Amino acid sequence: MLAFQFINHQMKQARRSTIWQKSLALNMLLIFVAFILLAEAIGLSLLLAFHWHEITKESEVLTSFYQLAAWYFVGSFVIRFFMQQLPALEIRHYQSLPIKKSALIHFMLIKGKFNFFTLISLILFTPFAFKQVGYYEGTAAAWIWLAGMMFFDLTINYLVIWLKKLMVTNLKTVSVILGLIGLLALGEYLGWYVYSELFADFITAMMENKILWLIPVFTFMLVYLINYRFLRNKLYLEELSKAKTDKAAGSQFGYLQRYGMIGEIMLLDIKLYLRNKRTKSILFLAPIFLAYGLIFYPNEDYSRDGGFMIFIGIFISGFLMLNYLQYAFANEGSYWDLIISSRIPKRQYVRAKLITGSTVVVISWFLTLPYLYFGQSILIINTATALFNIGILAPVSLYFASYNKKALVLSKGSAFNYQGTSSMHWLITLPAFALPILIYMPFKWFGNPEIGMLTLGGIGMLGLLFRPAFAKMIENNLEDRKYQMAEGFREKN
Amino acid sequence: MIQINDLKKSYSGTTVLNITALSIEKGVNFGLVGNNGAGKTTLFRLLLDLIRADQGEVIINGKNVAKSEDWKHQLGSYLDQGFLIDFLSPEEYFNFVGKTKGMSTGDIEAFLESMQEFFNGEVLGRKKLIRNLSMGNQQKTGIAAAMMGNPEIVVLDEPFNSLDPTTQSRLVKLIKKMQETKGITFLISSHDLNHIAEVCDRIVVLHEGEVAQDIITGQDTLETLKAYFAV
Repeated sequence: MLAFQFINHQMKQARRSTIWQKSLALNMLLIFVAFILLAEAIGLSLLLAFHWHEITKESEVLTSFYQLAAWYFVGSFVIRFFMQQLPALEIRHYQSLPIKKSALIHFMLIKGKFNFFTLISLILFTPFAFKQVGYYEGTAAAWIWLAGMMFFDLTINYLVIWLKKLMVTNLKTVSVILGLIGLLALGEYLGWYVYSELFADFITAMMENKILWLIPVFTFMLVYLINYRFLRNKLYLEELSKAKTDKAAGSQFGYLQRYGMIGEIMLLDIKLYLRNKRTKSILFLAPIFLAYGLIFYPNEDYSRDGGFMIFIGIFISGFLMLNYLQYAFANEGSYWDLIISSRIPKRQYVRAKLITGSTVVVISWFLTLPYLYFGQSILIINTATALFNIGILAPVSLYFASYNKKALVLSKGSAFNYQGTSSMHWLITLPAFALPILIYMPFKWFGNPEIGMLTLGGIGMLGLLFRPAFAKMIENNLEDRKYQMAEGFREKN
Repeated sequence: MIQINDLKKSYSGTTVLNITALSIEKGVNFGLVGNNGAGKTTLFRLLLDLIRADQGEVIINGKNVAKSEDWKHQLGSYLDQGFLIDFLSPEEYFNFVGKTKGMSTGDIEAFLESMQEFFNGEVLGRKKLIRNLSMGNQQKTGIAAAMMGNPEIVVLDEPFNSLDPTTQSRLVKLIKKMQETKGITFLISSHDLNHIAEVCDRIVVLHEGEVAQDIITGQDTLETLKAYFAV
């Protein structure tokens, strides 16, 4: 009865949130992506189920699959740790009502069981269980095997929930976790121990002695209980919401204040990025995007003068800048009234944003200089695209930033968080990547990729030359749209 | 000093504000009272050019607020939490707001020193970000920031809300002192009839977006207001 009430409220919350109602296009896109992922998972699971005995080169068909599963669980743990959102039932509304604490916690935890990752695991393991395990060990064993694997999966699920509640995601915890995983892999690589074989031996032992299957069940129950106890002890408003006072990061950039109002605005944006959860998690992602080139640049299969390289170049030096400038105003949505009623001249405000965006590109370009290792052509690509990012894409994204009328809620992480984004975001992002490729490709087709690069960089320089004119346009547009923006920003979701 | 002409604002067909003419003189603290939805905040937002008027204009010292930005140098304001930058510490916030108002670091320090009594030791030097402050202390931060930089006019929307009783009387004292020593004219809205009768020289009652009463504060103002709002 109570559970139905909770489910009802949760559904209403989801359906009535403004983002769901307003950006239908974005939601369609998300559903589409989820659909593709699920279809791919189903395809992969069928492939594994019907062809694993051909794919694997080992004679022990099942054991080799268990070894694969061992690493699947590790990968699942990592992805969940970074991507999975904590199950949160907005508990505040219910705490003053005569509802048992335990009911609230159980509901919150059980809700966390139903998520995308668990579904993927279920899809991946089910066909294999009946096709392969069933073939070698019998259908009854297949059922038990599948149940066991799912209990492993749920154990990881709750382990992640507990760890994430226990620790804050910061540079330290991230490096500790990545370090431990790296050690696990290194140990196997160097042959100190073989984690995947140990895991496979364990599963094999369980297949022989069915009573051992109780182990995953018990570990699952243990982790669930730990979660329950942890939350039960924490179920006081103050501890759940703000257990600790935030640290005032970013004061080391105080020297920016010497550059007058522009410096003040830049400093404010740096603090905004360092002190809010959502922007902070984007900063954590930034190094990963800088390293994106490592996948493509070393590989000679990708043509060095192809349009795809332009895409990579724009992406590497522009990712953070595009994110920053597109949401330059929406990030400040919670205090927009202060900005527009203050004496900050719009001109300086716009200039500060453009300078910060350009600085981010320059820093990214500088950090990616080591790509020179893969050849001079990479440096040319990175330089031309960085110039294009600074000269053209920076002012264009800031111009369209004023069409973002939803304030971003900065207190939530960025993974899977589409609050405040709209189809507008995609309308800008796609041309941002298409435009430079369109400029470059004709030159390549006529056999002059070098001139194409030169043109791309040249257009970027030209854009930089015309920046005052661009800034003026952005300023006028901002002046025109400030009421609409203010109205949108005042609407809290 | 402030002249409002034929000002109208409506949301989806409902008129929320309709003022034919209203002028506010320098040195006369101006109070705004009215039940929820009477249009107090809408009036203040129009005054600060935060929303677009459907019709009419607000003139501050000869300048239409929607067409010029000069008036911003003569006006300080705190309407709601939309004026606070919650990820800054109060010190950083005062510094930022002070700089936008052209104050030097020394000016800002001197100003904060003069506010110590109002802050009651709960705002500065606590090593907390504004989002970790209590509602009352956030309110104090916003009110103080509005008074920075020697403005001619200070606009405050429900400043007495969430302040503790001691701070409420300190705010009354502070407003009176600022009016006398610095010549600041305050525009204040409130539901607190006692306090508003105490600090304002003139009180306008709004009802459904229109001026219902315009009272010069005197001995019996509080009684008049109480009688007006009694059910």
